[in-house]
Amino acid sequence: MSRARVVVVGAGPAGMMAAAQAARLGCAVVLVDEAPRPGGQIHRQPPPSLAGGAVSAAARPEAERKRRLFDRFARHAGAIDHRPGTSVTAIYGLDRILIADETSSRLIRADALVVATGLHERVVPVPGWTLPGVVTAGALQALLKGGRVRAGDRIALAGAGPLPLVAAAQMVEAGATVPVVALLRPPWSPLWPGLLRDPAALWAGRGVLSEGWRWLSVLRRAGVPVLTRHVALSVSGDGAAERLVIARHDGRGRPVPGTERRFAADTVAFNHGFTANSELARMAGAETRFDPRRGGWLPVRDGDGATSVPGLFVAGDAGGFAGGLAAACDGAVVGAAAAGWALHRDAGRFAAQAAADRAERARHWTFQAALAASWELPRDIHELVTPATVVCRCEGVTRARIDRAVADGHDGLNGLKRNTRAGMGSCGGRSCLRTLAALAGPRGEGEAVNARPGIRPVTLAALANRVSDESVGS
Amino acid sequence: MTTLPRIADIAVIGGGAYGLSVALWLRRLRPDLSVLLLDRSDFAGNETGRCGAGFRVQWGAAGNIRLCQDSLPSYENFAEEFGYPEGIEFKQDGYLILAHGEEQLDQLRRNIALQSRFGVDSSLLTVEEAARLAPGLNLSGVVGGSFCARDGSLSPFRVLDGFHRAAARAGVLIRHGVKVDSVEPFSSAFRLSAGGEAIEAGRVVVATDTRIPQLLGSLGIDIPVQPYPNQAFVTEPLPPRLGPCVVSFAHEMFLNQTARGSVVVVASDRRRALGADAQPTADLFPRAAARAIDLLPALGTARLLRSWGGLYSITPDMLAVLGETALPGLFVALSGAKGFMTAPAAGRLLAQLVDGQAVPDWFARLSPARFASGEELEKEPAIV
Amino acid sequence: MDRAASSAAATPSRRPDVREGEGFTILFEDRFGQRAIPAWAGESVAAALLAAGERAWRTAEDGSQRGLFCGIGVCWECRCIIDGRPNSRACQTEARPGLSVRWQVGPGLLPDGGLPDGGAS
Ligand SMILES: Cc1cc2nc3c(=O)[nH]c(=O)nc-3n(C[C@H](O)[C@H](O)[C@H](O)COP(=O)(O)OP(=O)(O)OC[C@H]3O[C@@H](n4cnc5c(N)ncnc54)[C@H](O)[C@@H]3O)c2cc1C
Ligand SMILES: Cc1cc2nc3c(=O)[nH]c(=O)nc-3n(C[C@H](O)[C@H](O)[C@H](O)COP(=O)(O)OP(=O)(O)OC[C@H]3O[C@@H](n4cnc5c(N)ncnc54)[C@H](O)[C@@H]3O)c2cc1C
Ligand code: FES
Repeated sequence: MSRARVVVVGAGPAGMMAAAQAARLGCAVVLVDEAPRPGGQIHRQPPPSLAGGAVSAAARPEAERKRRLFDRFARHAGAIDHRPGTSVTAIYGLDRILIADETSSRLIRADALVVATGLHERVVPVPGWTLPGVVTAGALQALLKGGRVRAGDRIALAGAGPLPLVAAAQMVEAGATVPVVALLRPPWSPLWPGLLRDPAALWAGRGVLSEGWRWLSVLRRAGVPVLTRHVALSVSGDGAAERLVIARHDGRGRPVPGTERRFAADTVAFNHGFTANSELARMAGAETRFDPRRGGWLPVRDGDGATSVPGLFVAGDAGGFAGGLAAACDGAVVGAAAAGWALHRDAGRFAAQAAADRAERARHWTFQAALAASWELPRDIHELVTPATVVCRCEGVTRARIDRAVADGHDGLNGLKRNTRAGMGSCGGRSCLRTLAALAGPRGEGEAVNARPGIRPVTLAALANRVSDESVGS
Repeated sequence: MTTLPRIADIAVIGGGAYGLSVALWLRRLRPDLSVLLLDRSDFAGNETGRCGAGFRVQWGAAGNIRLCQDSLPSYENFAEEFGYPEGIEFKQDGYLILAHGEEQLDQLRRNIALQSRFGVDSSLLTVEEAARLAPGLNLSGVVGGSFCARDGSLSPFRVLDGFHRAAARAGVLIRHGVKVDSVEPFSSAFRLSAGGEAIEAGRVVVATDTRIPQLLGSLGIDIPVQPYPNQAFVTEPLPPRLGPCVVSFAHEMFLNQTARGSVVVVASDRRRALGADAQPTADLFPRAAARAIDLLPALGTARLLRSWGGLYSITPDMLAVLGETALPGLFVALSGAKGFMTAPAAGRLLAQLVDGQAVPDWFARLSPARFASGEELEKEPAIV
Repeated sequence: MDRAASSAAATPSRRPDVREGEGFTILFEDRFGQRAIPAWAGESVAAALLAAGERAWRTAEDGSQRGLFCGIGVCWECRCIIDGRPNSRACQTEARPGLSVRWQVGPGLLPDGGLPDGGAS
């Protein structure tokens, strides 16, 4: 019999640690990641030709975390069959996982499967959000981290949570002018009540807090106005973004008349939190629940990352936002559980080996649970989506069309999607399903949209060229 | 959800293309009767939402030809007939059926002869003519084909939405998320039970396609239908690569580049057993992607958008089953695996029948009684 | 918007650190014609276009123009015709010397309505 095999999807902090842990515990590990280099969303690495840019004081903690993560991964990398540039596009069962790269595809078998696919950004549409020059806050970061390029010269940011602040500070350091950061609520205020009750969590979060403080200082020094309790009303411009209009809101997200302000900008960046990449877990049959703050439709998992499907584990932010530090610890915990399952059908077998990571994860989780409150969107935020606003960018479906469908009785997410085609385009609904769910009314968020084989953009030629599994992970 | 009515003149079970069309026509014919439509899923939750979006009159059995021929004007004038200005994305670039070998060509020849008896403007093509119509196709091994310019591709979602809205406007009470558990005769009428609630209906139309036996089997009504799991996938929107829809029996495949540019590939597998498990199988992509590329080489660089499985309703003669059952007042509307293209006429004529009006002979022959009559059935040969 | 002025002024400053090694050019063609765009090894096509002040490189089905949105390969807004292949994501394609980027209209046509691999539609 071949060695027990753990397949890990995603080489972000969670997947890297899960792979390293399972390899350490004696499993054959295949680590499949569609990115060309490991590191995931947060530690996006520039290609070697661009690496080595100076690291600012504010950016240093993240660089240090990254170094520790890569050191730990490197120790076991020899025992990991890492497949960059490869995506998992279908799961027909744990014994039939379809992976594909540019030219070929393979069905691989897993004794335990760890889904560590992370998440992507959520943006609440406003009029003008499809104009060129409107991007996500993470896009600014991705361009800078991955290519050492800044998206524009005058960059305005708006949204929820800490990401717009961090990205704004990074843009300032990269030489941009930031006319405004408009946040729905202050990201720091929801933190305190929870943290003051839990000193250990406060301690665990001290690094993130001081890092946040340093980023805020960067903004302060540059004189960037940070306006909280403000909502973006629109982006406008002649063929591309030229200005962002914001207003104070009444606590529910409705603009207070007379408080509108306009800011000239060639680039406008939004972030309203995140959506977990849970399609693979759902395709494999995992139960989900809806959590609006931490990433939408989240696979239900226990402390080991085990889902409702035996042998299927979820690690890191794919299980709901908890940040890069928690993701790495979680990966180590889930990697141990997956190894225990793969080798002995006992997820608890190696629990002791991951005790330290588990304890550290608990502290990060408490901290992050408090932080997650800053992503709670004001209740009426979607009132600002005007009838003519495009909600589904791929298929060009407007709010008016969606409202009509809901009025016709199509108020479940899957039915609404089929009726309007919103969510059926090239992005697979990643840009609009959260909005669609919110507009659908009470039923919308209850059901996740069906996840069908083919979630990644693989060419038919690669699918047709199926090679046998023998070379994988042995 | 609003509560269900306890009573209706006519209940239609199933809100796919067949159920919606028949319900809509019932109210159009009889605005004085209450029509209640119950569907267990959301909008387009079953086969109509999974179909290949093709329309063709080019069949080899009279029943199919007539149903499609009678449906065509409704699709050509959908916006006016059903008050649906959005349109149904009817890309009427024809349907090209390829013959790989003389035997297949002979069959197409016979089909065309039959089609022409009903005035269908289809014709036999040489390979060169086929190549001119669809220059991107790999025609090696092809000896000819048949073509009809009025066939084409249209959006099942738009069609269903159009039916849905027209039905609601006509006064059909539509309830999604209601699964009917049983139908029983009940003092000269019927009693439906759905989630513990009872509904009394004077007449009932069962339009649940392959799932009809689940409801009628216990009444001793035998509708011979079996589910056959079929699979499909769709590419990202592409620049124009294919005008007509294409059927290739040799590839067990149907290709359709829709008005939006995506190519829908329906890939059958003759070796696959009948059964109701419609989950896509792991062999779909290597098998079907390779065949699709062989047929239309430009598909090699196209990216997959999603895939799905659905059920064909296989009847002994591959024709629809439309008519009254042995229990007076109980009707079936069963698509015979081409219910999307036939829905306008099937619904309209069945509604007439339910209302006690006369229907054409050819339609009357689609009644379920044909299976018990002992007569020889006219079989459809032109299924992929 | 004065395209020429904005790109000339912006080119050096949108790259915050000094680039090691030689730069090269990629070709960008929209309905106004073809231009050489400076790029460095390791940059994505989208990064090079944005650094040069180009913000859009596609016309969507509804006639609106699109460029970068998510930056990480999720949203498909940055589609364009790269080396003759429609629907290529600019944010996921690394720049190479001489690479050709063409403005994409709808599902993959050129601005003049032609097919990217020759011929009209
Ligand atoms: C734009 C953005 C900015 C962020 N900024 C911060 C921040 O400043 N601080 C912070 O703490 N957190 C931040 N986060 C959250 C951050 O992503 C995580 O905390 C951390 O990266 C989570 O690690 P992970 O391993 O769970 O997922 P990720 O790092 O997201 O890694 C997931 C990996 O899975 C791969 N993948 C996904 N699906 C497939 C598939 N089907 N097949 C193959 N591979 C697949 C992806 O390519 C990716 O490499 C940010 C997230 C985003 C999206
Ligand atoms: C892959 C594939 C490709 C196809 N391609 C084509 C094509 O190109 N052209 C074409 O014309 N046809 C095509 N077909 C066939 C076509 O999809 C079907 O014949 C047609 O959709 C059937 O319509 P219907 O209304 O009878 O069934 P459905 O659309 O399945 O509707 C039946 C409804 O009944 C409901 N229901 C079931 N049981 C119950 C219950 N107990 N209580 C309440 N409601 C219930 C379901 O929710 C469903 O909405 C294809 C089919 C498949 C699978
Ligand atoms: S910008 Fe979203 S995929 Fe490239």
